[in-house]
Amino acid sequence: MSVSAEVVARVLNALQKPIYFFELLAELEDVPYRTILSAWSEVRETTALERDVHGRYWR
Amino acid sequence: MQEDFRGMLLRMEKEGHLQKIQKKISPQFLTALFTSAPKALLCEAIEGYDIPVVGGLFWTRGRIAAALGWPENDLATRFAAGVAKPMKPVIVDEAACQEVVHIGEDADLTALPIPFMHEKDGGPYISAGVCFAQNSEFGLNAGCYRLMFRSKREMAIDLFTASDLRRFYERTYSNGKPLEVAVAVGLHATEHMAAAYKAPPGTNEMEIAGGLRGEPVQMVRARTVDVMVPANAEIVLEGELLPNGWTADEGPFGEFAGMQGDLKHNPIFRIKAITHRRNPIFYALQMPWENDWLNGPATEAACMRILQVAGIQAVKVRATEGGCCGWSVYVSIRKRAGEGKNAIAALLSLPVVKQVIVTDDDIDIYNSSEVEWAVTFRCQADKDIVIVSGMKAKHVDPSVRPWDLPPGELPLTAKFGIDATIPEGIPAFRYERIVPAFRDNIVVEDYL
Repeated sequence: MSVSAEVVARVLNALQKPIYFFELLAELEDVPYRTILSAWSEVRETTALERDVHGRYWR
Repeated sequence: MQEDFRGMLLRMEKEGHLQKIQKKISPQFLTALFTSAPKALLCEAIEGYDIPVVGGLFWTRGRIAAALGWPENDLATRFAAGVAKPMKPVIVDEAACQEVVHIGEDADLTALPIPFMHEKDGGPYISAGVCFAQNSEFGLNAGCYRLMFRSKREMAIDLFTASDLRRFYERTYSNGKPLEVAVAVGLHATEHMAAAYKAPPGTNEMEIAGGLRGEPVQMVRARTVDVMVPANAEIVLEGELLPNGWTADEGPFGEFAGMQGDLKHNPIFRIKAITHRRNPIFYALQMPWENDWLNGPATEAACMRILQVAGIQAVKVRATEGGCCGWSVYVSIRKRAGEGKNAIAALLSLPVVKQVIVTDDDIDIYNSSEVEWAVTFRCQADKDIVIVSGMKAKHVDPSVRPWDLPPGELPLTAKFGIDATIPEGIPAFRYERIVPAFRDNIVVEDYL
């Protein structure tokens, strides 16, 4: 399944501040779940993400 | 023919414990649905996927009993009988779990409807994964481990606490080598329960599953790793635990104690292949009760066993749901003088059990009001509550303040038991229960 560059860009944009995964899903509520996971896969393969003790992600 | 996972679902549906849902739903909403429903649900239309998802199979004592096909009050005795008569698995050459095979680039985790489950989780989780691994010293091991989605070929696996799989991994990790594993999703309740059981090292849990089933489990060699897996699994992920050690972020996840866990660092599972049945069914185990009920019968069996060793005649044992099916137990006994306290002492020595209520055998311990009645009228708090301090605890219990401990130090806890048996010296007639006059002459249904 190919991932649109636009969805990946939206994920990366959301990760500019600490964010829970559920907040990411909420922010991309117009995008199919499977597409979000594909974009997430691409982000994790290409970008080092930070985590805080609460489990939030950012880059 | 051996009942498999989908056969179990069919039976549960026929018996009214499971309902099929045709309305479309996205995976991030499944947990909210499964954990609110009065039955287990099989959601057939998952948005974006052609794989249905089932959840809530073991959510209550009644449902796990239904999944196993055992009477609800016999879980402990049936479990103990199964463990006592293990059966070696039979190896087959062809298996349903390999009807469809995706290898290498073709194996893509995003093809599976892996749900996002709890608000503060670190990502989507495979919660019903049973991991199989082989070790030259200990043989085949099966255990339940959660896996967090990272990418289309990688998941983080929780190997934080001591386990057989962790022991296997530590050995390969120290040599800088990966550990081959296979993760089965969608196993019969007997296989899942055996995998959840804390069997001694060197025990093949699938032999115990055979004992629970009363027939050998059929197993097949995985396609790309040297590991045996149950032949009737719905889905199998084959791959390796990479020798990255405890470095990959994993969690938080909604834990078995009903509380959100911590962010951890754990090894990575990289897949080589995904095999599955034609038209596979994905199982999303719901926390905490499905996880807890998998362990409940084992806890009850352990209680029966230790009471037997202590020479106490136990009648019934109930691991309560509020105690996560392990931390709190009710026991009814045929008491001789002093055995209420003896039972408490024996039961509190079990690692998980933190609180105990012991009653006489006239109390129905499956009825919490009856237990409360016994505590109210048969217990004197200054004589019948036993508190033991400084016992081994678990980090998951916030009341032991695990965060104050130096790294590597185990927490300690206080445990207690309530002796709610009739006190020595009080004749039984003092507890004579009221009985409706002519009770046997009335059939309620004739009047309703």
